[in-house]
Amino acid sequence: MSMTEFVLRDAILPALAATTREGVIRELIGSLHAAGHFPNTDLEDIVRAVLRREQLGSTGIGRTIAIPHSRHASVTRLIGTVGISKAGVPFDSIDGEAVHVLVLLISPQDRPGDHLRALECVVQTMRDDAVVEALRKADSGEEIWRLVGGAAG
Amino acid sequence: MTTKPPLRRSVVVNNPNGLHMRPATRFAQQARVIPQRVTVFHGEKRADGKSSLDLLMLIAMPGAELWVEVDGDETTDAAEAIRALCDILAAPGDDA
Repeated sequence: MSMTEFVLRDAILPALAATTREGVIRELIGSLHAAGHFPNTDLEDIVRAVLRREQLGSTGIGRTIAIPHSRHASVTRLIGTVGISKAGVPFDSIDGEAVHVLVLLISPQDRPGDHLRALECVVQTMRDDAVVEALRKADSGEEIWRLVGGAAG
Repeated sequence: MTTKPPLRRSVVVNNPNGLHMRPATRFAQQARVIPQRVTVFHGEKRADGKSSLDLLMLIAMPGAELWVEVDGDETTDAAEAIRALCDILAAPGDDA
């Protein structure tokens, strides 16, 4: 499985503007919404669901990576996006490091398998320090798309 | 002197969302409390029980049977540790 099966190419954000955990989560979900996969009326509820999940324990998995996520009835398939913060965002990560690479996932309510496979895929991709480093330095959505497994062009 | 085999228990994942990030994190935190090596098997796949990310790589769906191994024997604190670890995997759910 490749991250490109669920990452929406048009929603990738190579330079997140927000500087807080809530801010970057809002920015990423706003970008998913702009890509047209759920109605505006569900936007705030999805933000709240992801923030609620963060309150239960940070999704900052260490090595400057976070995978904020939630299930939500608004989506019919698992969707995600990637955002890069050049400055780094405090995320209460397990290693205490600021987060630079964010992968946000929204999955349908009733497909735990899809969610588990997507998590595995993200973790597998991010195991390579060189990929994480290259993502942090990436200047464009296209570059990020290629780094997470997408074809050029 | 021969090396003793580790303690080994099977456990079924009862969480309706499978072994997702939170139970994996809980398990790894609990496993790190003890000095012994902890290994979790799902079919052919194996994970270091002290790493939540390794555990996520198992893709353990609801109903999956996992095997937990802890170095040690029934006379050591490994027995209590493996019970606590299996309880985390067998827990029927969480609040999200």
